Amino acid sequence: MRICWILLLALIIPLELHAETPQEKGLSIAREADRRDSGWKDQQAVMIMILRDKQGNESRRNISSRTLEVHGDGDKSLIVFNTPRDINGTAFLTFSHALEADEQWLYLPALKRVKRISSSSKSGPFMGSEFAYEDIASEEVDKYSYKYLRDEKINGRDTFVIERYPQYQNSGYTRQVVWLDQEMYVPLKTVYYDRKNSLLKTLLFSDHKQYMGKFWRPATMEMTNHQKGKSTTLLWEEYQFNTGLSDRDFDKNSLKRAR
Amino acid sequence: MTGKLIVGIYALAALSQLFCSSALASSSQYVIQVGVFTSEANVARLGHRLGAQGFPNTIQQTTLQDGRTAYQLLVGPYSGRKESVQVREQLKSFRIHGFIRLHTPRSETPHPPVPPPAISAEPSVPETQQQAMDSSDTPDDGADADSPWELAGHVALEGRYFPHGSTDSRQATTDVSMVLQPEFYYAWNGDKESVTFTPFVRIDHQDRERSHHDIRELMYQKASYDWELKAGIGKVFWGVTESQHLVDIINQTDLVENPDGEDKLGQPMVDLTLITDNGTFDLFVLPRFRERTFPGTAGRLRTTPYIDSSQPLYESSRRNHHTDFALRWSKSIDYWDIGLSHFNGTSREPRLILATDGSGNPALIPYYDIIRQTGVDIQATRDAWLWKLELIRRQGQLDTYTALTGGFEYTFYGVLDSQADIGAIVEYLYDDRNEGAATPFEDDIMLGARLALNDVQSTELLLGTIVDLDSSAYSISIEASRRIGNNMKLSIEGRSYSHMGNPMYQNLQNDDYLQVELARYF
Repeated sequence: MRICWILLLALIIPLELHAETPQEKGLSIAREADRRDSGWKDQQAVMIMILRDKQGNESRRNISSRTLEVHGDGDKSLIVFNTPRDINGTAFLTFSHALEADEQWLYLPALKRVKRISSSSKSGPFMGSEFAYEDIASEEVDKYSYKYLRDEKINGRDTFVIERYPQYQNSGYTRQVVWLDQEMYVPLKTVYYDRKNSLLKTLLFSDHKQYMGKFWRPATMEMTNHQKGKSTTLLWEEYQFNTGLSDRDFDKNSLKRAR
Repeated sequence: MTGKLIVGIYALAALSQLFCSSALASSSQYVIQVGVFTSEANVARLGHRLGAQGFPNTIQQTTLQDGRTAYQLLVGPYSGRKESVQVREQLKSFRIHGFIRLHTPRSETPHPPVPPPAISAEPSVPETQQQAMDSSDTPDDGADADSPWELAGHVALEGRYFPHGSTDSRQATTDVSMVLQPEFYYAWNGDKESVTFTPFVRIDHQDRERSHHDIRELMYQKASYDWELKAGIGKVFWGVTESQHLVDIINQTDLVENPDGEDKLGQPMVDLTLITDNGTFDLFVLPRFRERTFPGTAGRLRTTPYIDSSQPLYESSRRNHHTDFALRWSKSIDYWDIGLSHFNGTSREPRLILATDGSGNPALIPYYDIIRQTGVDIQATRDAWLWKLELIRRQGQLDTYTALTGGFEYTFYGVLDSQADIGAIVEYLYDDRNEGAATPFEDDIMLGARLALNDVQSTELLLGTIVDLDSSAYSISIEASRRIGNNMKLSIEGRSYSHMGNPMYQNLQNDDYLQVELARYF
């Protein structure tokens, strides 16, 4: 038991002594969020995507997703479309990296063809939605530089407000402002500014639930594009963690089998 | 400096966690946490119900950070992990999904305070589902939610219009046909084993040869950690280029479907896949040969004279019972995707021999040689560039020959501040048989443009032209598609064969066409 206390003291003391700059504080909050969200090994979920245009017309997509936690690099993910039915079985396999280009393959079930595709379209819309590829990609600390702005209460929750600046190539944003819940260490809100630094989109996270007594996940994500007047809602269901997936569930062979 | 320090501290913290938890593990029992409640009445009710069903349980109090009291309902304790897993499974039949954790009496290690429930969640709702299953002991847990059966597929109505009349009075300027292709899928063993059945039927009002049916897929598949087995009828695609698919050889082309040759007949096969650190190896045994389909006399997009597919000739005395073999190695290394393949068996592409049909009219008869073909396909993916090469060497079909397709695709993302992408495709097509080739592509260049609007309807457009560098011959193609509503898709396709270089295809000069297809997916 004693060794625990010694290690714990080693954890606390240096932080107490050091006065942080806003950049350091922003980074250390991002690291803490990353630390708290590690150890889930793999994750599976079903995503319902509701696209809404200016007139309020809706269209839906059902997507199943699975992700493998990779230590020291970006995560691996595989997503499969179930609806619209004409793209049923179409699947994306992504090996994400913090700063280098992601590796991405697309499976076209009608042709049984696996296509390596360019991952340069990070700022492009994901399946016609208001989410860009970079918005749904795996979160890595090194993808951004950070600046802590202030503490703020939103919806009765204490948050850290942090500004972050994409460091990877081909981002569609100059900056993002993130409201990070001080207790759960997950974002409640992200505001995106485009390449001209104009307000572009707002993403609201809600209905968080905790899994495995540790990991918080939102059940609802609502992205509003202020410039186009469109919005996209993501509803997450059937979250599962640590289901025993391995690298083999994230290769070109499993891409062809994915449902 | 600070960064390194912080990383170091986290490493220490992680270590301390490791030490502490392993110290606990040696002396602890297990409990199944089935829920966290903020209502004492609710936790008591469920506890009582479980007790009545024979599950001993305790309620443990914790304090939330906002000062409220939360109640964890714990079933157990059990001294063995195995026993606790069994009980967790029993609980599932009562629709209770718990997770196993170490039993930690309060005096020894206080349970960390439970953060308040979801921002908008009802405080008194049992939060049983919040706790995901710790299913590391039962990896197939993930599959039990969905039904193992799936039905998919599409039905489509297609119309074709040929603006130029034909000198052959049997051919018409319009054609209407219908397609049905359902897909039945059944999986078991945690999706590690499955059967897929995809029948196909087209009814064409003009061409009897184009009215045909096929089993596109009837495949049993088993996936293990480092191997996969497929047995039945199916389709396999190899290759990287867009203008033609030289390396792709497992399946026969269903040419009556579309002159682009991308529709394939189901191929009987056994395919063993071995997954190693040195790449993926596929071994194919192909016990039955499928003959290529060709348009009939009343169909357009055919040669003159027509191809009589009723009396094919074979080099092998076993005819279409000759067993073919194929082997493929493939691997992704960094930005390279590389494939090497070898095929030994009946050529999918026939030679055409001038003869007469049953009524004594001139006809071309397909002749299927036994060939050996080695193929290489390589793609390098660098930023917005895709560099592609396919190369084959074929022996056994007259003289040994080499053919290649090579080029690139470059994509401009988000053109003109829109969300649309435009891709430029350039490919060079070469065949060292020169003008004698049974292919129109012996020294040609393909120029293509791909437009993807990235809109809700997935609107796409592909324009292409193939130009023969030795003559003025060229062909043009256009393909466009757009989703309508949630389940329909409209596709438009047009091809123009203004000047085909190869005399075999000269008849196509009159076969420019425009095709519209409306498909309903289910």
